[in-house]
Amino acid sequence: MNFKTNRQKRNGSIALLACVALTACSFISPYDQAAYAQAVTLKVDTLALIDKATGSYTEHAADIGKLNLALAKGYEYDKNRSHNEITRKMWEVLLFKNPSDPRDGILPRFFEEWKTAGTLKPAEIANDKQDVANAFDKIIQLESGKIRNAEAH
Amino acid sequence: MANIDFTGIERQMEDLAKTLFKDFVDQAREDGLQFLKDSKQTFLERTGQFERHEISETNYKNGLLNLAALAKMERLKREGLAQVSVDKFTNGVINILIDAGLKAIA
Repeated sequence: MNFKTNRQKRNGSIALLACVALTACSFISPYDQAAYAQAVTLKVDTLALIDKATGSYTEHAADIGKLNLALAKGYEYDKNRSHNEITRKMWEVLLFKNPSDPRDGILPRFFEEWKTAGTLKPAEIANDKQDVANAFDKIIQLESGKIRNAEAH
Repeated sequence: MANIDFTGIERQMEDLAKTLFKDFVDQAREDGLQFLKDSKQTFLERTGQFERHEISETNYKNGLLNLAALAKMERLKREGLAQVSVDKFTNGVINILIDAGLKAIA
């Protein structure tokens, strides 16, 4: 026998949904203006340095060191934000080589190529710039798509 | 018991889900197709550059690995944006319930 009316069932399911909704925590970190600005700045600085690859690697070793430090700071900031694992993984594809995944390490691949060749041809620089820019854009697009604090309330 | 408009709540939740998730699926489909088109174009251009000796073998090979890396990043980005949609839905449901509750006691 069905003891519950449709109304009761519906009230129950809505109450359950309400409990789930009210107790649910966010799946992903909210938008962070500092992280967004940092990614944009790092993109511009990185592309500017790639442009210098018509010159010798050793000549720009100090600039490369400075950029790598800035990138490490950017990565550390995003790595330690809660619920930000996806952005962290995206930074890792861009910044670090990974023996278990040959796809990872877009930027180290570029620096190795530059170091080994000494200088790069314009077409090579253009290709590398395109790939690095696309990688930064994906990080920036995800950050930009996240919920702003005002939207959450 | 307060007079809560459960039918209205259900309808609003359904509308919210339809809008949020439909927009997400449409955008994901569009972006996915664009990404495939761009990757194919890049692959063809670079293969041509390599054949014409405009780029080194290292640059060509790195470019192929980069395309695969960008595909991985695109998948991660989609995964993140899907999570944003779920969060938006959860926030929307909370707002609908609060509004309904406030109306009922007003």
